[in-house]
Amino acid sequence: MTVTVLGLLSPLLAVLIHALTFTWLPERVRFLAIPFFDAVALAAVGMALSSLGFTPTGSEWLLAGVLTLSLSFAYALILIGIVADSPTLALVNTIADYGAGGMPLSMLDEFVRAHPFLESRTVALLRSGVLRREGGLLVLRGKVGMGLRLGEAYRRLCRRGAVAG
Amino acid sequence: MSILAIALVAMAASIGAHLLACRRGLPHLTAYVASLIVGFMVTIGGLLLVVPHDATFLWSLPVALGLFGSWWFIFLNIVQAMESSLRIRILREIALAGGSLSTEALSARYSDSRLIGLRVSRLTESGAIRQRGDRLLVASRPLLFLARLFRLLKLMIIHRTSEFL
Repeated sequence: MTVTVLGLLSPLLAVLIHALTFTWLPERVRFLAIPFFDAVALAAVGMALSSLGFTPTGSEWLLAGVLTLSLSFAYALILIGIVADSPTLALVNTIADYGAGGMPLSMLDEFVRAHPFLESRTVALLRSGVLRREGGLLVLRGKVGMGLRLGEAYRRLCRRGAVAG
Repeated sequence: MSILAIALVAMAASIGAHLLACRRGLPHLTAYVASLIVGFMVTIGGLLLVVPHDATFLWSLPVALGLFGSWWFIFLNIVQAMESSLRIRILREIALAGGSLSTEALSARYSDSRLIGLRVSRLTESGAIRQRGDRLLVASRPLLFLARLFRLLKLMIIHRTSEFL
């Protein structure tokens, strides 16, 4: 029971506090702050459980810690989708906003102009350090190439064709 | 620790199921659902084999499902990112160009117009949106629900409905 309460309540608390304080956090640490909130939540819930006579053992702390980090990582992935517009969802929302009559095809160009996704993602990659600028060029950092190759290897195992994007 | 081991085995089985489904040519969504169901069944089965069938089982179930569920969600995001993430596409284009590429060349290879055109094609082919005359309409209620949900979450967390506003 201790692991269940510690491992589920801690990430819930951490996520709630993080979501509520998100816009107040400096942009550079918004995502990096998640493990910090996890640690604080784990400590708080652990202390509360101990005060009630349910002191977690070492292995229970470990299991709860793994569960907390796992659920928080999943939250971080959802948060990326919230912070950065998904082209698909943005398109669906825009079409739906036109109501039952539908969106004129001619408005697609306006949608493209109002949603500069390529620029947004390029800037995000530069800010995160995955890309860097050298003169007029965008340059890939070495360690990212390995990740891409692993992903491509899995796609080849799955026999998936060329990515459409 | 047996719960951790069960979740790890479930995750391995889930990845194996996804790989098998893909190699058999099943659609993306079917492969994901198959991997989720297999992992879920292995988690439940593993718990039934290892954990006593009393209150311990009930307390262990959310922990094991929380672990497997979050790992599967992370796996889903990684695999899907290789399929449709714009950031991955940008990184891949730069990698294919030898590790560096100018912004202009990147725009020439992959533009916002092409991105949206591809999204419209995919959504139309899957039946999520349909064209009636010269207008587009949303045909998928689950996708519309997801789009509206993310818009609401954006409003709640980042206090605006689009990153471009």
